[in-house]
Formats: sequence, C-alpha cells, structure tokens
Amino acid sequence: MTAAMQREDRSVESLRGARRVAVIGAGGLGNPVAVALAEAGVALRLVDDDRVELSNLPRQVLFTTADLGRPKLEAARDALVQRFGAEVECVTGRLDATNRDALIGEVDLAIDATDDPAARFLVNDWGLAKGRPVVIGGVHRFLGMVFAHAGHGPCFRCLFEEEGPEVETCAAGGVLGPMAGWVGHLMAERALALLNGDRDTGYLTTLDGLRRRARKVRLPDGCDHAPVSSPRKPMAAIHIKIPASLRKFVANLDTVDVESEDVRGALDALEARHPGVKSKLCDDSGNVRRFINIYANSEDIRFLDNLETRLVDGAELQIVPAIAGGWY
Amino acid sequence: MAGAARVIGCGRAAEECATYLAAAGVGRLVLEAPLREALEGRLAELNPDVRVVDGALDAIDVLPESATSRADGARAALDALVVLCGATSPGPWRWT
Repeated sequence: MTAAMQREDRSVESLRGARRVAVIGAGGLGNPVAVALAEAGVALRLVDDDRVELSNLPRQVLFTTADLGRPKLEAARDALVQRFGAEVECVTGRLDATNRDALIGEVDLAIDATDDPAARFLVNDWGLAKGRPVVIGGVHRFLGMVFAHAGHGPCFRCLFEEEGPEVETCAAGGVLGPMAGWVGHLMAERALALLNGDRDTGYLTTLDGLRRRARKVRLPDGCDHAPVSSPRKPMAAIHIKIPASLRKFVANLDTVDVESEDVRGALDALEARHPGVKSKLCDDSGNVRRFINIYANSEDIRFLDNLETRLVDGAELQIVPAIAGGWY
Repeated sequence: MAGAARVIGCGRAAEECATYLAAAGVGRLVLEAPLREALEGRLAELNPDVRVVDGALDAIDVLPESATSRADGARAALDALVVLCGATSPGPWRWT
C-alpha cells in the first residue's frame, strides 16, 4: 500500500464491521465488488461454485497464476484477507429457486455479480421478499449495466418481466477486463450508498465503453411485483445503542442498525451480526438479564411488552447495564 | 500486447488502473515509484508477461479522473485499452 492509499484509508473506516453483504458470484464482477466492499470494511458472504481458470485472469484480478485450479471462493478469500484484513464467509453453491434464501443468508444487502440471468431475478425477488436492498450488474463485451432497488419497487422485473429464452453470457460473448472492473466498482459504490441510507433507486445505469456513453434511465414509480413475491412487509430499521462496556463484543461500535419488528427480533439480528453478544444481554432461557435494562424509545421494555415490544421504523433501542459497586 | 502505458498517480485509482492494464496484457507499464514498489510483485503474479519499466517512449499517459476512486481507475484502464487497440480516439465521456 502506498502512502497515498494510507491517507485515503481514513475515508473508508466508517463501515468496518457494521454491515454484511452477500456477493453472488466471485468472477469478473464479483472480484471488484468484493475488493471495494472489503476495503470499506463490509463483512462479505461470497457465494460461488467455480474454480479459477487461465481464461479468467484478464478480468478477475484478485486471482493470480498461482491460483489456477483452486476454488474461486478460497482464492478470493485469501486475497481479501491478505490485502484488507477482510471478514469473509465462503458459501459454495450455485443460486437457484430452491436454495436462494439459504445461500444469500441473513445479510443487509445482496449483490448479483453472476453471469447468470436467472440469478438476477432470484436476487431481485429476495430483496423484495425481505425488504432489503439489492444491486444487480451485468457486462457484455463493451456494454455494462447497474441496477439497484432499496427493498421495494421499481424492481428488476419492472425492467424485464422475466428471463428471456436466449441470452448470450459474457463467457460466450466475451468481455473486456477493465469493463468488468468498472461495472463492478460502480455496483459496489451503489451498494455502499444504499448501506449508508441512500434510497435514490429506481433507475438503470447503462454504460457503453466503446462509444464512451453512459445513460441513466429512470423507471416510473410503482411496482406490482413486490406483493406477489413479498408476503412480508419491509421490516423496521432499528438503531441499537451499545454501552461502552459491551462495545468490545460488537466491533467497538456505539450503534448497530438492524431490521426487526420487535425487541426480540432486534436482539436476534444483533446476535446474527455479532455472535456472542446476546449472551451478555439474555440468560439461557432467553430472558433479559436482571442487571440489563433495555429501553425502546426511552421506555423500559419491562413496562411495555418486554421482548415482544413492537418497534416502529427508526426506533432506538438503548441498552443500559446496571452499574455494580459501592457509592465511592 | 506490444503497447505501453504510463499510469499517473499513486492512489487507489492508479493501482486499479495498473492492475487491469496488466491483467489485460499491456506489455509494458510505467508506474510512479511508490506504486511500483507496492504493486510490482502482484502484477508479476497476475501476468508474468507484463514488464514494469522505468520509461517507454511510446507509452500513452493514463490519468484516472479522480485519484481515489477504483471505479475511475478501471474506467481509465478501459479507455487506455481501447486506444491501444486502435478502436477509437480518446474523447470525452458523455453522461445523459
């Protein structure tokens, strides 16, 4: 790392340990996506089932000749850990309708970085079903596209109703390496913006690397795909304020944002993101420990519905441990 | 590829630009000293045929639009590759 990059590091620390993103595909798009997110401190859940081939190297720059024949997940994880100290979870598999939720997992955002048109619809529908943002990208020869939704429409199906019968993949049609790199980094930038609360979605960005043109095409408001594929409404965004004594269990964060409809779900989501922290708050039977007080929007949940207390979007959960010891 | 490129800068954009140029097979790269020191080993592993050289008279200059954006670095590599392949002359990007 050069001194210039070390100076730039100050701007990418804010997300460290705070967000988890599933990246479906560890190839030409997945490589730059993973690099940019790992560098920003996002925990990654990489999903792929392929191995590194020589023909991959011109566009999959996380890999080297020493990685030939290795699973892409292993090679990518090693490179990301070595270069960025990234937190990387590897999930071997190829996304389909039967394993979609299991492979994507409990994440804050999912990114389709595959060369598989069917996967785009699966990731799109996952986001609608969970009320969580997704980013979808594609690249072919000199052309690229980036699309995102924020857990609701307009969605990818508003652009393309369904997968076409014949779609040439980039493996068949070819792609220029830096074109994949550019599109992948733009996808990562969209993902980071969404994780930081940007909700300006509903447009498609198209890129033509040969004619040097980029277009932003905004879709009409409204989407009739969410109700079909989304039996659940989007969950409320909850801000959990972490006391100083517990921050060492949550990557030294003072606030962890989760999505849930009640206190129990919020604590479960906190545990999913920072395994082990819930045992500091709840006993073996799942009840809040006696020396822990939890306030929902400044009201003690013991005087509400305890763990079943419902939470509205934007609610603040404050954890206050009892102070032990004498007066002075 | 017989072409040569001089990447200007030492930040993330320059790093990404040099990486994609090397991966794509641009034969000779001229890098600023700090970036060369940080990147030379990785570029050799990425593509053993690429040489990082002190200078090249026929090198085209590649300057990413911003110093810190990896996206801009990759786009600069794309633009350079298009020029080296003779596909088009460099011109401004049009955003609409």
